[in-house]
Amino acid sequence: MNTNLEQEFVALLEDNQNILHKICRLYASDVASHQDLFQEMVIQLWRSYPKFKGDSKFSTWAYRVSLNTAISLYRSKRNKISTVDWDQSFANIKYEEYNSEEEEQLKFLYDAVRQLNDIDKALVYMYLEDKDYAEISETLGISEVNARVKMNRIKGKIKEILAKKGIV
Amino acid sequence: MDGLDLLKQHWNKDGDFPKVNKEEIRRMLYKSSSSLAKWIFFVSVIELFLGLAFNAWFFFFSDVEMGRDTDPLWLKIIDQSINVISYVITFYFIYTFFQAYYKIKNTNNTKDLLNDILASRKTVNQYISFNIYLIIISLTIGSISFIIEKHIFDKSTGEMMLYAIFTIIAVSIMGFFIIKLMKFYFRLIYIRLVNKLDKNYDELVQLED
Repeated sequence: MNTNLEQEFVALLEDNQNILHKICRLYASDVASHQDLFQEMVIQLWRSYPKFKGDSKFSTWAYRVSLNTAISLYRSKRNKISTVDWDQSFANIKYEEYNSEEEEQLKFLYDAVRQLNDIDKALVYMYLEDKDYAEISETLGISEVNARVKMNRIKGKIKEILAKKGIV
Repeated sequence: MDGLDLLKQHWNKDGDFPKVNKEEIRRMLYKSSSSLAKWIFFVSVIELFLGLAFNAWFFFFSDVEMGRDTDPLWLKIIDQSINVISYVITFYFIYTFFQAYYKIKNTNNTKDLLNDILASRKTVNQYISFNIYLIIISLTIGSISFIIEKHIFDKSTGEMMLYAIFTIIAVSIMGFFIIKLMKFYFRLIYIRLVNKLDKNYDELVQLED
């Protein structure tokens, strides 16, 4: 394997790793599945990296491949898998503990998003990342109008989930 | 302000993520993937080659064990034609599957990616259905061959009827169990693998239609 390519990729990924973490945060429900999904995304990114021609920014390309991995390729495993031993890095990740009232509210919001289906989560991710509807529609392969319709429905769904918990 | 906007305010502030270093990333690159596409690929290849093995067995079995010598020419021609056709179709399926599989690119848009994975799988499903038909046809041909071998046509009408009814029942029961077994297999393996993809794909096409 080309070591230059590897070095280049590893450096770019290290700088852009938060993209992956943010997606994991929406798709994974605990630290173990966060690690698992993160690893699968890295593998998929690395495999398609030779075809990345720099037509778009690395970050744009990376979030698209990562979202596709979460939606299409990732298979959650029930048993503990052979993830690289990197638990140390994850020592401070938050899935359960929240302190202030505001953080509590955020936790409910994240929980609500995690109850959405895989496609809706992708839309939420792109919405939170401030992507415009043209980009959202291009990433998912749906029309812009439908992306808007879907986004409105998602907002409704989240309201519903929160209402059920008596939050809104 | 709705929930998502509140989340958006915090989205970029909230940088409480782990920092995975270069060495850890490097080690991850060569870990084996657990992707659905990979599993679907393995299961499909196994199924395709089991089908091929079945075809080979069918060829061998129908040549040696059946009452070959007693078969009339028309039955031999049908039998041989089915053999040839089944090989041609099997290779067509194998070719289509590999072609569809190599089309899968995670850099496509999500809908195309899901579509490509599901298309590769659909080929294998059609292949399995084809094999079920082949089993049923081979059972029927086997029965006809058996009937001819036993000189049933020379026997009394009552005996002929009895043989015919017995054969129809036997073939139907076997066909029934084969289809049941296949359905059970699909529930066990296929649905577990493809369910997520189907659901997500439907979610995307629903609005487009």
